[in-house]
Amino acid sequence: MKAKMKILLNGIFKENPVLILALGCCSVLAVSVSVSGGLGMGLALTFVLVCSNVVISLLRNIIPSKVRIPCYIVVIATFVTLVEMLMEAYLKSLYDSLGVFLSLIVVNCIVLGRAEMFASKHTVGESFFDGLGMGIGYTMVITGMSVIRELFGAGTLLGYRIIPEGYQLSILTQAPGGFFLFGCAIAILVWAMAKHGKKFEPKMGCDGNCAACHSSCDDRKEAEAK
Amino acid sequence: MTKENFNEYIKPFVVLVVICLVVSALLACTHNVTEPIIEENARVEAEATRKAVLPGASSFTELDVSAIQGVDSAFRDEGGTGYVATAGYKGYGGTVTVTVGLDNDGKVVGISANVSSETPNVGTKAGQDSYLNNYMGLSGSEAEKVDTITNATYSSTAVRTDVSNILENFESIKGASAK
Repeated sequence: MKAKMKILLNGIFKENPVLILALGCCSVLAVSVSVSGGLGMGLALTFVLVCSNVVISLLRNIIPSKVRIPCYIVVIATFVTLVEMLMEAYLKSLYDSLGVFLSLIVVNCIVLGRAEMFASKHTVGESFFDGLGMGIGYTMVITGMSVIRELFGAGTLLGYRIIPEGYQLSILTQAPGGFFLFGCAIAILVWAMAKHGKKFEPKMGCDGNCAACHSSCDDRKEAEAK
Repeated sequence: MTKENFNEYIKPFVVLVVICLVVSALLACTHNVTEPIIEENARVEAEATRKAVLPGASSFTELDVSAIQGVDSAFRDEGGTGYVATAGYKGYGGTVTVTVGLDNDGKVVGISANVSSETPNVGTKAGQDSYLNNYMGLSGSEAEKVDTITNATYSSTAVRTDVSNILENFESIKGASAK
């Protein structure tokens, strides 16, 4: 159980998908303009992530490595479409506010990344907690950012007016404000880690998996040799 | 056939096909459950928008407006209070769809605009009542004279174009036959 807890917390803090792995930033920047949208997006992604991690982990010994990416995409797309159809039927207003970003969960790097790096190599239980942890980590960041953006950008919180009209930083609700806040969030995290004597080391969870790696292997080998 | 050949060429193919078949079946089942609900939602929403712009209307009959340029759809109130028409014109971020309620003389009695594709707090001003109220009571070519919003010219021009298209075609809408 302790190991599972560690996997869960790993996704929330140590390898937070958005702030440390820098995955899924697109939807974070785009959807974090309203708290309801941010929270809804976070929960939708968590659901897809947990389900796809579990199913891919179950199938990990059946799926031949040659067709593993198509298989992962099919599994992920299934869950995204499920969420989409259910949300359109039962949560129409949330469905409208998420717009195209809901269907874009299919290509969200976090989901495919965890399928490839984690679920395909670990047991079902571990994959479940990894998906849950990563999902919570994503939800925390997107919700936190949307609270700041909605409160100071639009002066409302969950649609209720908090700051009177005319005292907003409208730029926060737009793309530049999103980037600005995203940068600040990462800077604060690095600062906090440095204060606790931890070095900021973005881990890509490489495991020799070159498809999901940002840097070239030659650079890495050189760095390791040194 | 050797086992290696099977694993190399046949197995990937079979596994992928089986996965696709299973998920297709799963999705088809969900679709069957959700589709009627989604259609009902869309119908209720459209009905509510129409009732909101034409207060007092009882039930609507859709009119055939495919020949009228710039007007997407039109409805006649069976109770005789007037007409509801929708039009969509390109805004800043996408299509701005306006729904206008008209009395029997072609005067605007209610208006709503879908500006969800426009820039928040900038273009979306064109969808607020404070701007849309400028169109109340207008008819014919009068909508052309309404000012656009500074900083939100694209979005408010789209609203104005939609309203103008509807008002100027009022006679044709009135004469259109039921669909």
